[in-house]
Amino acid sequence: MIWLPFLLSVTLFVWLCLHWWLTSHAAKTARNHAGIRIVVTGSRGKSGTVRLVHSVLSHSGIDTYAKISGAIAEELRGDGESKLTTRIGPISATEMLAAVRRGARDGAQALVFECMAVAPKLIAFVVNEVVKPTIVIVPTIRLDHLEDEGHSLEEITRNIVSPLTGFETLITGDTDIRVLETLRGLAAEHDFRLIEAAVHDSQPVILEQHPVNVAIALAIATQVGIPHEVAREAIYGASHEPNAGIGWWIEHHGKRTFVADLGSANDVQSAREAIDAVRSFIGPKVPIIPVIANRWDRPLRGRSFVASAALTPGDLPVVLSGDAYAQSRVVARRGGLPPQRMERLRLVPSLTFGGITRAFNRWHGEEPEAAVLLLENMHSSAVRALRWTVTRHGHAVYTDRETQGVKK
Amino acid sequence: MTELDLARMTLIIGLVVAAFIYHRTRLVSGGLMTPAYLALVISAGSWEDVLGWAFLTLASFVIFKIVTYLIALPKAWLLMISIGISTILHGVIVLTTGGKGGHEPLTIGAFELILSGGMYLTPGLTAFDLSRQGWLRTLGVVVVATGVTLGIAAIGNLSGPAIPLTNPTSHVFTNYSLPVAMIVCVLLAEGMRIGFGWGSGGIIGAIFFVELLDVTSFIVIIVLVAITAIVAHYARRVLTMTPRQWFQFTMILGAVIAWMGLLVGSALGIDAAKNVGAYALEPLLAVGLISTDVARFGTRHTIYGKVIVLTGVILTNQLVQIGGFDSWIALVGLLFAVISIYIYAFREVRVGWRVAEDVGSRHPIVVNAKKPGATLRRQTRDRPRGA
Repeated sequence: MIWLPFLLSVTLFVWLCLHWWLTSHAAKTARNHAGIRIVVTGSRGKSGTVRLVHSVLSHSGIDTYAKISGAIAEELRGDGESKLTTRIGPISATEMLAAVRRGARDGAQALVFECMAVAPKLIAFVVNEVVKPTIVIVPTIRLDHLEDEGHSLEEITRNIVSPLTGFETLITGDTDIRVLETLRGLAAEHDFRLIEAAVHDSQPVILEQHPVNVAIALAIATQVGIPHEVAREAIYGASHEPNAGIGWWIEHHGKRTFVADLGSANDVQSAREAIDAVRSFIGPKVPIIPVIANRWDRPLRGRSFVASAALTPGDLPVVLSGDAYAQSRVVARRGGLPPQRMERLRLVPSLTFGGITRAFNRWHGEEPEAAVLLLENMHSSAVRALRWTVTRHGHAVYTDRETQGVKK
Repeated sequence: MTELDLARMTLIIGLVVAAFIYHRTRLVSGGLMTPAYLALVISAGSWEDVLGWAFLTLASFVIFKIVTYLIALPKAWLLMISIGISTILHGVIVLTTGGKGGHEPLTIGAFELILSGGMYLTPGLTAFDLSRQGWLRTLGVVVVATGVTLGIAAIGNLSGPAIPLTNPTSHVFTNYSLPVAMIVCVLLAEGMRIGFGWGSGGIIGAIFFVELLDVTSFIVIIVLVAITAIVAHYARRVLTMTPRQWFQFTMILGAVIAWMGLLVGSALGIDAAKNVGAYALEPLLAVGLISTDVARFGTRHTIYGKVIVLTGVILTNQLVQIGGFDSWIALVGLLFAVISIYIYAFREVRVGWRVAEDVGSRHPIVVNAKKPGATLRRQTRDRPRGA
């Protein structure tokens, strides 16, 4: 009788181990069915690259399953259907095991995964243990996730790439010499082939897709033996990020405010590029009011965004939000932003049209037009509320299509 | 069957249930140990402790949110701060009320010490998960996992009558030395981690080693850790799991191996195994925690950390028990030594801040074209300082 509690405990543990083993074994078996396995990691451009590569491969007759794991988790199947990944808990690398299995269930010959992991140790887990890719793609390396990945471009590149093993080819679209030199060194050190995908004037222009991502997708086509002409046609079938390139005009108090969510540009360099794209739509003279939504669990990203926004010239305010507001104020002051130019976005006014238009009117000052750009992240409740109110009451327009300004 | 077996069974069931919920849903349970801990206190009918746990969790959460509102800290610091807050809060409450571990005397056998330890640590772990995962999901998992643990444990309880144990009262810690030792232990263990990247073999493990203070018992624990490490090493060949899942696996494996080893050792009449086996939960957790730290930080770094933490706990315990002005001065000196580790570790945090602000100031996101005369307020540099 004395052994009964022990036996019950051991039985439960063995049962749990069996679950773990079945999951591991099924993922391994599934992975080996796909001849082409690609992991997209790095700082920016991962989701767009996955969409483009999926389009190139699947429209060229290779049955492809792809998984996007950014802010929106989505799975793209060989027949072009897409499905949102059900997430009960927070984002975790364990969902990759289930994704590999689903890919095999679809009979996919090629698997393309966006690596959602940020910490180098977890990136290595996804690459070395779960997917075991034949090709690794690093679209760009940017100064983001400084607390996890390193404090310089060289360090970040090295920390992300050097623990990865077992792949044959690495394709990058980065053009920064510090990133490229580091990658060249790693290629020699770890014996993999480095392909530097360059943007060409002759390459197709795909709406809402970055040219670097397009260049990478075409490089992948060459790698797997797809004729260039076929790949150029196939690439047009790529799906788009939901709400990519959409902004909203709000009219109030005889003024006009343009609102756009650039929260997916998570580092200051990418944010600047995104703002430039918006500028080409709204015109160069419309002043910009940045809204920085800081996050307590991404403290360094918040600091770099606030330090950057503090340099915004002019008299219009810089709006701070999020659950690390006090830190943001300190950094903004240190960056030279006077207190009278600091505004705070609060939750309750953001919930109503009257509330946001009063805030916009105050922020505009004498300016008849201004652009309110939501930056840094999409997790602040006040920013979420603002976006929700704007989408309900604003006039949505595409900002980066040929039909610019057309009502959605 | 004894209460000791039932407590061990409840612990392992709690760990398995929490790990299984994570495996299926990726939801964390406010600390791997929390459902098991709550199931144990509920089994003991100590509802005051459940309320105390809820109060400490809420208080830790509120303080944690205030700290993160004010200061930008890396993830390792945030977890440390969350655990530190609940430990200091509980320690202060215990010291001001004079009760051992803050509990009414429990009559559930040999695991009084571990229950005390749980109240210091689990509220901080839960507060951290509340911040990351949200209230609904975290509390939902805690309630479900605790309920399922109690349900399965109840089936085990039906298997035979419980034989009450005599409680081996602590010969080492007193009502006042335990809270102070716990605070120093937590601060030192976390300091080792963020300051030097060293493990400490777990906070519970350190307190338990000091409670034992016996070389042969120490060897028994080390042998069990070695067996766990070997089994875990071979398991890596067949299991594909995230670092969090390896932590769960090693914790449960360590507990099962410790229990089996102590049962076999006691049956063979080995005295050292009997001494260690007199404690219900401590050896099970100690083996799991040391094994996970060895896997994460390496054997050498875990030994360094363990030695420093043990020394700190022994010193603290002695100083509090000796009492008197000199002892308190020495204790304050010890606390300053601990704080100096954090000051040392904080240098890295400041470098991170500086680099992040440099990155921002070198890449202004908005350059309004309307006022061409406007200039950047800050001189930018080619490379960040400290990079």
